[in-house]
Amino acid sequence: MLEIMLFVVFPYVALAIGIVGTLYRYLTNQYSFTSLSSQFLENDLQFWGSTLWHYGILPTTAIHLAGFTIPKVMAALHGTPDLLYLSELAGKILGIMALVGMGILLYRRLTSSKIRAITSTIDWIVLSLLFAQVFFGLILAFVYRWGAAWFIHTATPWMDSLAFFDPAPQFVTALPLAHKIHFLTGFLLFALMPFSRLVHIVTFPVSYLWRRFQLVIWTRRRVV
Amino acid sequence: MKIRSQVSMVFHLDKCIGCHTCSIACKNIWTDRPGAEYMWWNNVETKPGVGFPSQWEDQEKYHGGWEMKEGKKGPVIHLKLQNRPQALANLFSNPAMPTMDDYYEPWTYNYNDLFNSPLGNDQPTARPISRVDGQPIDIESGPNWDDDLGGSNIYAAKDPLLENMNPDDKMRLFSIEQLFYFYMPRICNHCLNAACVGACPSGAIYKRAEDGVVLINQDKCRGWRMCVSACPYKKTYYNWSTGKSEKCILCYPRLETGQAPACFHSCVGRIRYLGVLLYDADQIEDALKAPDDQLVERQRQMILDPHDPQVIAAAKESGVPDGVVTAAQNSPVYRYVKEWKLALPLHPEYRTLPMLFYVPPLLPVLNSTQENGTQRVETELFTSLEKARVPVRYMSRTLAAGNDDLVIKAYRKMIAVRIYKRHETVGDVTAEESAAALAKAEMTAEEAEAIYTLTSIPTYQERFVIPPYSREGDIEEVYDPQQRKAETGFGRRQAPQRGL
Amino acid sequence: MKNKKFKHKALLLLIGLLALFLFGCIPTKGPASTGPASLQEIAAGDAENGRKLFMGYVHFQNEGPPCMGCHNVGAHGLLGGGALGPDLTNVSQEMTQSELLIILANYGFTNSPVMEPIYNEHPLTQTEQADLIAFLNSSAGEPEEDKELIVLGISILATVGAAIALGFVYRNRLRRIRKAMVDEATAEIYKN
Repeated sequence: MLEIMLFVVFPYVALAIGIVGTLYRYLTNQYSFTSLSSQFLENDLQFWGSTLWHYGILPTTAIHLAGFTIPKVMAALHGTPDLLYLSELAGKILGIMALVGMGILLYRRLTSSKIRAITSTIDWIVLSLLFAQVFFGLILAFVYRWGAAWFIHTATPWMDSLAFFDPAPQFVTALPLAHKIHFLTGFLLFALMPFSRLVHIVTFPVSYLWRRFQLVIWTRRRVV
Repeated sequence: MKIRSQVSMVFHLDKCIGCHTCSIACKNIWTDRPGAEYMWWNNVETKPGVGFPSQWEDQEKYHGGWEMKEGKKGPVIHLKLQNRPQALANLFSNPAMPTMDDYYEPWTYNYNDLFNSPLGNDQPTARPISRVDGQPIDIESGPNWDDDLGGSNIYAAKDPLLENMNPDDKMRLFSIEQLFYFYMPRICNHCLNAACVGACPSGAIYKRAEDGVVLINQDKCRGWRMCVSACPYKKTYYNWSTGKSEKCILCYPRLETGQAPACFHSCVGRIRYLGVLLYDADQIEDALKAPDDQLVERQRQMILDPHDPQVIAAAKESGVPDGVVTAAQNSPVYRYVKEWKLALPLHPEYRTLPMLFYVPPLLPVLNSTQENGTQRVETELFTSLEKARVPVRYMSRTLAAGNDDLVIKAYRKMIAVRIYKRHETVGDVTAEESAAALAKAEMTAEEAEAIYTLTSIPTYQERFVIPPYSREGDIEEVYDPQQRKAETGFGRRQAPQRGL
Repeated sequence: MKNKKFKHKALLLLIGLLALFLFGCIPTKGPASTGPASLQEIAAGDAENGRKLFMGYVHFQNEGPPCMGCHNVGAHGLLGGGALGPDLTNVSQEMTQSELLIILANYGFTNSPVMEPIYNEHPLTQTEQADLIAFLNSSAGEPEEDKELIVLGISILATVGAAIALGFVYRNRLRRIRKAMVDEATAEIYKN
């Protein structure tokens, strides 16, 4: 029963809160969609913390999502032991980058009184959860290697079963505790998205790659 | 021809007394909020000096503005900051982001200590405390830290414009009794090719087509901070509390109700002029690609004569209302910039096509002491220019991308006006000398008279020719006018507070 | 206009999320179990082919994950096998052949709860089971080797390298202009 609650009900609730909440916040309070960067107040540690964190976590997240959506491609990417070792090492490097980066960011928030002054409770919660999430991710990667191989045969079928509304929690319920914590924290973070600064993820400005440089806006639609 | 109108500005530096009233007027209206305390949408700098933020003119450090490169099909303009993919790669930690320390840390004083301290032998003091975290701070810098050349051997000496300057010229700036400085009030230039607009990854910054005011849409701003780095004038600021960037809005709510912006309205020296310029938007691209020394000329070319019937017809076709054309015809800015060529754009070499123009400060060496001890106005133009305490070179680096000629021409006119009026009112200058001065400046007596009138005794209506706005009519196609009926003003229904 | 724009964007966002989900929902249902290998088949098991199957050089016919993803055997593999499951070097001595067979064939009550759902969908063929048993029989007594520290060491070193590379790319980033300027000017004054 507990397993159903944790690995079926909770993910659905978290996804619903995350998606609906983020949409609601976007529609009602777009002003609050910002990165809330504190680089202006502190630039030295911010560079190391933020670049390591983002350059670590973004590919890592992308790889996780690819594992869910295109498992066959990902399986082919580590088809032989040698390829597996290479992709595993790459993933581990990204993970350590993210962990160190988040560590620096947390340290900087704890030590700089200026940054503490603009840190809200939810910031502390989200940052700690992110740190824990990456930490447990690395535990899985090192203590329970090789994750690249078992990921697409445990987490992927579970996630896909959720996506198809045909839940199959048996793929993950027998896994060690660290796995479970990692899975649940992931969904918890998704659920926290609309209540925290995490919403800045969905505003990643890809359209800058092709938009016009100069924007001229008429209030009245006229000859432009 | 695609004609657009731009509410533009002229600052007559000769008249600026450096009182900072403009800055205070602006601060009291717009930037007295948490996170914005350090911002000065309007600030007044002492030149030579490092300005605000420190050394903002040094684009090798700040990477602001645009650069021209030779491409395969002729010259190409690109942001000095970064290309498009780099913009996304640099989101996480902007490599050209000035920090609060480069501006200053805003502070207040712990005034309560004055009232609440116990009886004792010492005078109680109010310690400065940071406006960011409330902690006591040692003030190392502040707004106008180098005002009136204060600490000049640190600040004025590090003026980026003095780099590689001829030592003689440098000497003239700093030797005692020769010392010279002038004030430069700065607001957003509301550029035609604004670098902040070009650099914004979210596309939140835009130019209002009706009047050319450059604004940041606070709903679309995501705090990526690229505008702060890209603006070569450092006139967009990051609000560390709300996580949004902000900049001068040219007091558009005032403009729309027919009032001059607060800094213009409050200007004690009456140095500020505001009026409409009509320009040809099709020429922007070419004007941007001119070589450095022709940039000012090309920008002047873009600005069209509002009296020309052809221009009036084209303006009508482009949708410029008649009232705006009339305003353009009465625009003091048009006279200073195009007709008299007295006003020059600030750092045209950044290639942003700034629409705020400066009349350079006239040099204070026009009087010479005679043998009998009386003062006499200097009539020899070349000698007075050469004796000028602020080197022409410095002014041309500031206002003409290094083209001395433009600055000298403006100066000749200003000197000629002064000699002409001296002859007329004081009479210690002969008519020949006056005529010679006018001839040298290639101007007529009428022009001199007009320059004198608009410079010295303009009325409020002559200084600020605000075009008629018709917001209600403009928005009725897109908004239901009733929709905002119950609101007091400008549309926010939620307090602009820091997000979660 | 404002509201319309919002709706437009919200709709796009929704469509994007839906597309992501649909894209991710490719069902991976394998064929039904083929049952355990017979004794004759086990006797004919090929240890070398078993090693290849175990290490993933040769893929299972029904696309099941190679054993080394979770298990280690002896010193096989440059960086060893996985560690999610137990080390299987001496498994043939610790378990009876039928116990092993039950696990491999997913056929019975002593299954591993982690492996059961996986190999239900990707069952091993009888030959594969036989080859794996042959391989596991041959590996008994080999020296066990835990390569965890090597993996950790390489990863940390490479991360340091990546950080150095980032620092190099951004070496010209803007740092403390005002302070540097004041310090420099002050030093010049004291020098003169």
